[in-house]
Amino acid sequence: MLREMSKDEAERTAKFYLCSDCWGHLIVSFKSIQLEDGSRETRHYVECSTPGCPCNGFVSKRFADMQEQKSRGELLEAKTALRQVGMIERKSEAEIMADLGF
Amino acid sequence: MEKTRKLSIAFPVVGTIRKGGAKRPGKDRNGNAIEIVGQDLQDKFRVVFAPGAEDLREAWMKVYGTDQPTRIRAMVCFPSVWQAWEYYNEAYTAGRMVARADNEKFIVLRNPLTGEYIVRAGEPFRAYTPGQKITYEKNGREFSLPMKSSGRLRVFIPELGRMVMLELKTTSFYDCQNITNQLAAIQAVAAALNGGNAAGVPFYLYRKEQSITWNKPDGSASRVSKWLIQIEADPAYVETMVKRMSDFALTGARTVGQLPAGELAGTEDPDQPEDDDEAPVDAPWEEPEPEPEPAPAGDLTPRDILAAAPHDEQGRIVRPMAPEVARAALAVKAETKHGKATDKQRRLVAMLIEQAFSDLPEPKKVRHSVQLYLTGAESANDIPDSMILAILDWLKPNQAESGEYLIDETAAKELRSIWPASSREAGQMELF
Repeated sequence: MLREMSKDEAERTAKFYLCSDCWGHLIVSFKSIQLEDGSRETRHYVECSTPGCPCNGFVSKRFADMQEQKSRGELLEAKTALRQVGMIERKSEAEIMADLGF
Repeated sequence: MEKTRKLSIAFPVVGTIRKGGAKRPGKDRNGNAIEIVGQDLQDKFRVVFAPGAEDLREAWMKVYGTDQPTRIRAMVCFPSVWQAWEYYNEAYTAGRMVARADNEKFIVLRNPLTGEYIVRAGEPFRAYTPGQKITYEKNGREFSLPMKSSGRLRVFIPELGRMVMLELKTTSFYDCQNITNQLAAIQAVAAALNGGNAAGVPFYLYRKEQSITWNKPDGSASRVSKWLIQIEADPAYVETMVKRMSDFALTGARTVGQLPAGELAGTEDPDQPEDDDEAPVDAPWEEPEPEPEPAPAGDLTPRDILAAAPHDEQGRIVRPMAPEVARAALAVKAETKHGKATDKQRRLVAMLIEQAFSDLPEPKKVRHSVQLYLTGAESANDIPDSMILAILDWLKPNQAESGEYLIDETAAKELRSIWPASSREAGQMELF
């Protein structure tokens, strides 16, 4: 979805924010519009760089970075908790060694 | 579509479970084209997968056959349900969050005009009163932003076959109250049946029409019907776990009740527009009955304990025996055994005891605990020969047609009742 913004705002948004649907980079586009009085005006838009993404909103780059880090810890915790209740099979000694490259 | 960065993180949220239909085009009061909130789907949810998660959507459709299911079987995948549930009061302007508060204080507060932080990470303390609004002035006009409830529950759907989560979103105050209370009940189920680990406790998400008492600001009240989110532990799971627990305890008593929906009342307008929609208060459950403490053995000898145990008309000890009686009976029996136990017999004892706990996650650990209680030795290798022979007499293994050794049914019951006693004696917390 194209979002119309002022030039400064569009550039600031593309610099600090990502698409909320895919966390893809935002790009600034512009087009020249002819007004009713015959003069021309350049309008700026922000859109997601991922083809086909609906881009319903923005998230800050900092938020995405934090979620990425948090996610690693959460995965570890979830796997441990699910293993304890038998939802995920425990790895055998041989599998662990293989994972470690031995 | 290629896998996006959002889906490439270690444990991604791959989709959203919503209560309303998709946004549709409309017009504001000035006639400008805008998107307006879709209608509430009443008894249904709407599941929307993120771009790039098409394969997961396919897996979902294979299981549910629709993206608007009425009932979803899910679970949290963290030890505590509170790691999966986030509930705040939030205010937004132009898509930017300007305030976030729990029910007591602001966590984040920003100047709506400049974006400058006034409160960050709860500091400095600023009290929040439910219903409070964020007010500001712009170009001589006063604006007021309502603080709306915002709840996000991240759930794990095992049928998707991947370590990913879906996020259930609601902006209804009543849903948030409901979910908080019902998740507390799920945590209680986990505490009673699963050693406090809420991961893997299956529950159903569904919606039910419920009436809400709305206490209006002018002092009047009215009743409104709303389709609210409900969370209920999978009855089949609770039944199985309670049965297993009962088998161990030999009491047959149920220690965790089901979760009746309570009465809902509040000062929030249930009809206020929201992105999605709303849920019961108080889900009282029965307090688990404390297990009777075993009679203190004190300085009694095994023979004293056997003499005090209940006997039938023929003078035989009534079976199944209580754990301390079984231990005393084994000690007395062992006195009559003078042969040497072979390695094969030792291995057989270990295998037979583990067999009784084969449905538990760590049967070997349980066996060690039971052996310690019965014989004073944790490892089968350290159990005296006479005791190994006495245990084999007690368990009376029979070889089935398949070649597998099966223990006597009564002895199996006695063994299973020993485990809680052995844990208690070892000073451990009850596992169930």
